[in-house]
Amino acid sequence: MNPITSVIILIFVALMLPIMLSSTNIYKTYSFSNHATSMIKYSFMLSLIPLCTLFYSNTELLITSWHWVTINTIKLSINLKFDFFCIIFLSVALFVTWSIMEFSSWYMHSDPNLNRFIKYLLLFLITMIILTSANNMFQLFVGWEGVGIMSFLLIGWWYGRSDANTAALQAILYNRIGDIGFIATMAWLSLNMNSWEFQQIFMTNNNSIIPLLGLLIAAMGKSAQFGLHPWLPSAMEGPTPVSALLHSSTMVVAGIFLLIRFHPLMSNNNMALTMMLCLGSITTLFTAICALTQNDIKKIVAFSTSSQLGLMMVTLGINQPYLAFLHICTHAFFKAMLFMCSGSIIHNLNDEQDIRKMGGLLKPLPFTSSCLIIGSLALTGVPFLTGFYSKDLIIEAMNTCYTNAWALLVTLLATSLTAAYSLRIIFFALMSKPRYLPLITLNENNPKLMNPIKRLAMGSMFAGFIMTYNIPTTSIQVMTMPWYLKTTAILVTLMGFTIALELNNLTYNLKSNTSTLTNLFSTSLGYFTLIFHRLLPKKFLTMSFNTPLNMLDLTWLETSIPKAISYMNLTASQILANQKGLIKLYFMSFLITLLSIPILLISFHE
Amino acid sequence: MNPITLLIIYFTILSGPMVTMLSNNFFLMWIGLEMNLLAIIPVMTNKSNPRTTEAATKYFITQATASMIFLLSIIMNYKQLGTWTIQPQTSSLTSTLIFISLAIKLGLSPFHAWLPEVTQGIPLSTGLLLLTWQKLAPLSILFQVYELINPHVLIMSACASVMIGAWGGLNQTQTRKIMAYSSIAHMGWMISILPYNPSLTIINLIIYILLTLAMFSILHPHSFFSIKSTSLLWNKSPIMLPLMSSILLSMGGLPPLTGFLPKWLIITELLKNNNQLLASIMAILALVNLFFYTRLIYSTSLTTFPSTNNSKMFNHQKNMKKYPTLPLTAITSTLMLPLLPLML
Amino acid sequence: MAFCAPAAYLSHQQKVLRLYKRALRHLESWCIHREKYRYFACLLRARFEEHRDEKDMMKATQLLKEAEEEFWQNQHPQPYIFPDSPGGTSYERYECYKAPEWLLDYWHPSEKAVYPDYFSKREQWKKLRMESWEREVKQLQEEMPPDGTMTEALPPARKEGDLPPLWWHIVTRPRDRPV
Repeated sequence: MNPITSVIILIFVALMLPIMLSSTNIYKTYSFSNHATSMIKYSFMLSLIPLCTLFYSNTELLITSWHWVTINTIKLSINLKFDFFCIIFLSVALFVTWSIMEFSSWYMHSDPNLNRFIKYLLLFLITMIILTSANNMFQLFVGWEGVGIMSFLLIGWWYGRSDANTAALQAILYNRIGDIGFIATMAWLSLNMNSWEFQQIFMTNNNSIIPLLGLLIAAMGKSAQFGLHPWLPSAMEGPTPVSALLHSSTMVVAGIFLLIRFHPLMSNNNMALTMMLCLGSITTLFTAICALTQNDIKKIVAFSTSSQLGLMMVTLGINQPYLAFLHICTHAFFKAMLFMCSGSIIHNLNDEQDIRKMGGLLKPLPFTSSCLIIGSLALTGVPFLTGFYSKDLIIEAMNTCYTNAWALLVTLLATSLTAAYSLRIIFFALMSKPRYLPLITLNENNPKLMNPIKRLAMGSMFAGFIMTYNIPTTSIQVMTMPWYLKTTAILVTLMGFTIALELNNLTYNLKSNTSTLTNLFSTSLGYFTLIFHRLLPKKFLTMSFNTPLNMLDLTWLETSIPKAISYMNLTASQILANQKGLIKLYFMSFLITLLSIPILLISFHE
Repeated sequence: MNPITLLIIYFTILSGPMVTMLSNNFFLMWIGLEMNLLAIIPVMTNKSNPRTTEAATKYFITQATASMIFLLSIIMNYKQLGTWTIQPQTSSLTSTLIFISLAIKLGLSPFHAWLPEVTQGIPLSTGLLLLTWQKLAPLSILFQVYELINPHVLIMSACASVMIGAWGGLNQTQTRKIMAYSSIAHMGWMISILPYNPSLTIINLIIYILLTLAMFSILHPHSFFSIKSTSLLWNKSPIMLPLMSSILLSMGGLPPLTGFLPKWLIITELLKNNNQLLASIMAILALVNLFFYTRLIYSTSLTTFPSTNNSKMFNHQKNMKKYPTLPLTAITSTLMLPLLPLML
Repeated sequence: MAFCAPAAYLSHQQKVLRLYKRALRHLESWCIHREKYRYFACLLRARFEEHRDEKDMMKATQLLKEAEEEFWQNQHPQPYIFPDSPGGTSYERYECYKAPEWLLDYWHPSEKAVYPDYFSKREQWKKLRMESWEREVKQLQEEMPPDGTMTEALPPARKEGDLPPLWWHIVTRPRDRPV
């Protein structure tokens, strides 16, 4: 008997327990948020056991139990896969969620439905764990949809706001587009592979692009890749803990995770790899450009997530799924922390999110500020912070592979922009003079705020090292390269920092600002939402209105059918009922008939 | 009129078709027809005014002509075969002449022209008599001789009747004329199935009589002569609104109601006999019928006409003449579809 | 603000004032640092002051039109919006939890019986309100300027120990944040 199995069952039980117990009376005397937090904490500690066994003896696990149903030749059963990806992700997600849960009991303490909020977060986490531990398409789909629904509920948490409702709907609709791809893949697999089990799918030799395209679309929707990205910045309408959870360990990484899971299928298909590479590079650059001019602190962080997701996609595109996964894990730490630091600032400034109204927060909020700086540095990949271990490897792998130079250049540019927008937050929120309202009492001395950020700050500093040091060797890296390729990542980042600092300093100059076209492109998010949410629907709707109006309503349903029939019937009626009341005429008609019928009969029949 | 006279007249009206139906001898049949004809003329002119006189005259002339043709054909038959019965050896000319005479009596197209005018000219109660009881005798003769009549003639006449019944009624505003055209259309349906399955003709006749009876039991007590006057039904007797709507829909042949039954059976039978063309034409033209029935429903129950209505709610004050037949006929003419297996 | 474009029936003065305020807000969005903002705000003020005594309405309207056009050209694509203003990030966030106080009138007696102290006090307040209503309205009518009020603030109580006009609405307004 493997101890991991019982540990995993325990983790599931511990996570489900607060949800189950919430239907009893127990939380009238105990705090639900505290209980949920400690349950996640215990789960995290339990999850360290499989993590250690993975690190030291490379243990992976597959649990198949409870055959559910067999439809023709497809067997559906509960099938859990605790492999390299799932075990590491489990620990990371539990660690991050533990902090977020504790943080949200501080951030949302004034909300009337705090318990429900915590419960949603917990369910969000559970669905994500279902997704990562699934070993067949069906279970994966359950987790996939569960994540989508929970994100809908959480983004629309402040349902009194119309913006929040719009954002929630936008998220669920964009995800639905992705789901089309996912379901198409499921349908294709059930038709052609006769199985939804991963092992069986990977065993067969597949040359078709269709399932890969479906997966790519699914990942695009979930991970907000270019084309299906607008929901991600809108999702900032949710409370900050939601953004933290959404962007670190759940939801958005699900798409990348799906592609990592299906990597054995993808890796042989150059077409799919190229598409991923190009899509990822476009996403990472576009969202980085969008992040440059945002003024909402949460939106900047959101766009940086989108940019990092693009980077992960690029990594998948150059056939390095393990690196992409590593980046997911490291990214979770500092992104959750960045959101929590912004949450701390926002909450302290009475819901002020605009960095133009912050400034000089370094002195009143030293802890938050330092953690924000640590997070930003980790995000930009400063050496020996967590982000470095994955990001630097990715850039290196990119520089040394023989693919699309254009995509690689674009990615490098985006990497330097990462530094630029990170610095912009630091510059405007933390440095220079205060611009917030004077009558605000700033206070960050709440353990429920400090502890989670502190833990994640530790994670942002050391997690990358711990992980890279311990994980078994996965794919072979190129170990020798010229110094300029080795240092590219750090060089472009430094360049980004320097230029951004200079540009930010320019704002002190007494020169009046006007909007330029480039600026407008960035602030209006590349006109993407304008075109795809306004222009195209309007044009389509107008066209669709006009077509049926003219063809169906006017021509077919008005003139050709009812009018014509009405005219025909009216004429027939007028002719046939045209009686003058003259019996002489009737008898004439009788006579004619009387004569013609026998004549006709005789002439034709006899 | 003198009640004894009236009694005798009604008895004659009753007995004429009886004689026709009971006799095997064509000469006796003719006598039954004549009795009926002569007896109904005084009923028509009961309330003497130029309209009724004109209608009675027209009726008399056409029916007398028909009777003469009928007499002519049976005498021809007697001369040829020496018998007063129709035999398989009867010449086709004779049988065609018999059909023509009966078609005039039934108001089948192209001998329909008298029917709307006569119906329009006489009182509603007599109209009811004209559209129901008067059909029995000629149809019973037709039922006996249909095998000898050329089916093409029957079908052409049926098709023409359905057309006339549909399009003729479309432009009418008078309820009696609408009912007359409806009668023509129904006759067309009956005759169309006669060469294939004459028992369906009988079913159709029964249901047609029930429907007409129910319809006239609503029209007659309120003296509804035109569509416009029916629009006051909501005021006079609101309970009749759903009743009239369902009777009219049944008459148009909508599925859950009795009127659907003959149409369903006839179309099925026609299709079984590979007569898709006639079936389609009749089904399509039934829609036109349905249209003007629906117009009647619309004017009675679905809208309020901008008509001057100085009367108070009649039904609260006035003890209306109640038709005792109405409940029975209304129920049978709308809800009899489930009894279909019993009737086949 | 950007949301309320000047309507046609505004007076010229109102149009200019609204344009000035909008221009200031957008300037604030452009110039992040306070000292820079002050500098450009002074320049802006000077430009408005320059034509302050313009008597020729034709010319003034022309100036206004040009100013509006210039403002439109130079407006900020993401102007700063206060969090609780329409379009802001926390606007109507907890609006759905706010219930008007008069709902308490419609509580069932059995529900009211759960909070006897509060409802007995509330009855006294209502009585007080009925008593002071006439005086409040009278004071409001007396102090209301003929062309309508300029601010939304209510006038204070005039007599010693008296209640300010419409005090009921101030006392019973819902909390900003639900508890």
